[in-house]
Amino acid sequence: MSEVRRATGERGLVVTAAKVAVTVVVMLVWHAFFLFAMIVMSLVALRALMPRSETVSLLLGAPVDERWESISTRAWALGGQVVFVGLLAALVAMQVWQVQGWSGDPTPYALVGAALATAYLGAVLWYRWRQ
Amino acid sequence: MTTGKDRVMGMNRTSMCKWFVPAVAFVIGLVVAAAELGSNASPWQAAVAFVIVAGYALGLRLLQSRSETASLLSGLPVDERWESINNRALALAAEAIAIFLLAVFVVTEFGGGDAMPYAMSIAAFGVAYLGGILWYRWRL
Repeated sequence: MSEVRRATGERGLVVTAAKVAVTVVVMLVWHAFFLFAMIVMSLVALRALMPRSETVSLLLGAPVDERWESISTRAWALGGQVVFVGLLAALVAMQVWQVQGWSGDPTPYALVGAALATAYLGAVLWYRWRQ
Repeated sequence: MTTGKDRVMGMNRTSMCKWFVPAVAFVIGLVVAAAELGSNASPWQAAVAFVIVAGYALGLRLLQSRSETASLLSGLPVDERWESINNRALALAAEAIAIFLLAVFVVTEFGGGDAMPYAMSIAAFGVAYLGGILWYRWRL
């Protein structure tokens, strides 16, 4: 009798574990599907608005004229500068936090900051040679 | 009409601009060195960290009058061509880093690491870029 009860209990555990695993997989797939659908829908919406809006056209990588090309270049440049200053601030903040004994790893900020600086220096040399 | 006082003020402003980047680098160098000292680094390591940051800025300041590239890297492009080079270089670097950040974010997410710094950087990038578009759309 007790063997039957133990076997039933073990089977119950296996069934529960399988249910949990299936639920987790379904949730992960659903989450990924939801994110994918959001991105695709936003792109489709932007594409639909493209002929009507110059800003949307720029966001989809097709500036309508030279003015919008200039806006794109300047906006990218501004974005790069803002992120570089932010990365420097985060790097210093993480260093100070480490001093205080709080958790925080400055390595990602240092790596991305170094990559941005290298890309900028490389681009300066490239355009200096090309222009 | 430009008066002598205006000229003096203009010269003062230019020389302040010339010292702006070295001064900021000096402060950043001090902060980094202090943080290094605080995180159990030796004074020698802290001094090296300071010298790298401050030395780079001082080197740029010394080369400013001789090299157009150094002048640009100090934030003072000498003419419109160098301003255009600066803008294009910044834009190209920003585009490259945006792609790099996305790739690192995805790889870190898959690897089970902490992708938060990259997600925050991407978010800051997106906000700054969209803000830049709205700003320049209004200004240009």
